[in-house]
Amino acid sequence: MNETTWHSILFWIMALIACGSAVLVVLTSNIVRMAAWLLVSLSAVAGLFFLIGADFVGAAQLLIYVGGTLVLLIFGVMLTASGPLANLTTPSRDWLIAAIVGSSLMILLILTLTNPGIDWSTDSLSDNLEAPSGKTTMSIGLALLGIRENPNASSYLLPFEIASVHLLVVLIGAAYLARAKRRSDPPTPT
Amino acid sequence: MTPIGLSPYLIVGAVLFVAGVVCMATKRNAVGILMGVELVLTRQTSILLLSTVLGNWGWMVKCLPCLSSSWLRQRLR
Repeated sequence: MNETTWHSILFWIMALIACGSAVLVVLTSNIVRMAAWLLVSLSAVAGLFFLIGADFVGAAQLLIYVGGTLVLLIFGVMLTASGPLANLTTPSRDWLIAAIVGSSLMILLILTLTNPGIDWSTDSLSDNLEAPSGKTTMSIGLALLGIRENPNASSYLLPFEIASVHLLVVLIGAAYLARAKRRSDPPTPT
Repeated sequence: MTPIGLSPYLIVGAVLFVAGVVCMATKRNAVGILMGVELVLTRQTSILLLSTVLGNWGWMVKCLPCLSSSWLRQRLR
């Protein structure tokens, strides 16, 4: 199989996983399972980003959303909400309203996509599809560190260092605020 | 770069967007609404990324008249 066929197969696999998991996020009532399905959906969307050729955005999606936000969300829910948030039931009236709103939005988007005035085929966009792709992470990293092909171009080394020092200060402040408070009065000897 | 065309990506984005909106409408707690917002934002990220990959915003500008009421009225007849 050629590259185009593999691209199509991988796209449809990722798309089915992303859309199916997103629907399961809506249908699941258990909040931890919702977060787990959202994790699967966001991972599949990161795979779609890799397929487009945006490797940096795909890696950022995996690191920030999947690795950071969702794990924090799952840990927060599991550590704090034990009773009322574990299982949530949605009333039938809300399901009806949401179905109407969702169906209307979906019909609007499908009508837009099937508009004969817009040519969505790749041929009409082939000139624009020659944009550079792949290995964007390396060029972004080099630009952050000030290594540019053009020596006269401005680098991002100073903002990068300012951001890193800022994050370090925030980390120290968070550790200071979150530390356990010591008792002011010493324990009485028995 | 995208041999299968643009519309499959937009269909996936549409499904994610609708799922996020329905999630925001049905869940009755802040965490559920936050998950719906994350789905919608993920869709927006994918659309912006597609625009960047295509190199211009022309196809998005072409979409805007389709959302007008006159076009919808004509389409729904």
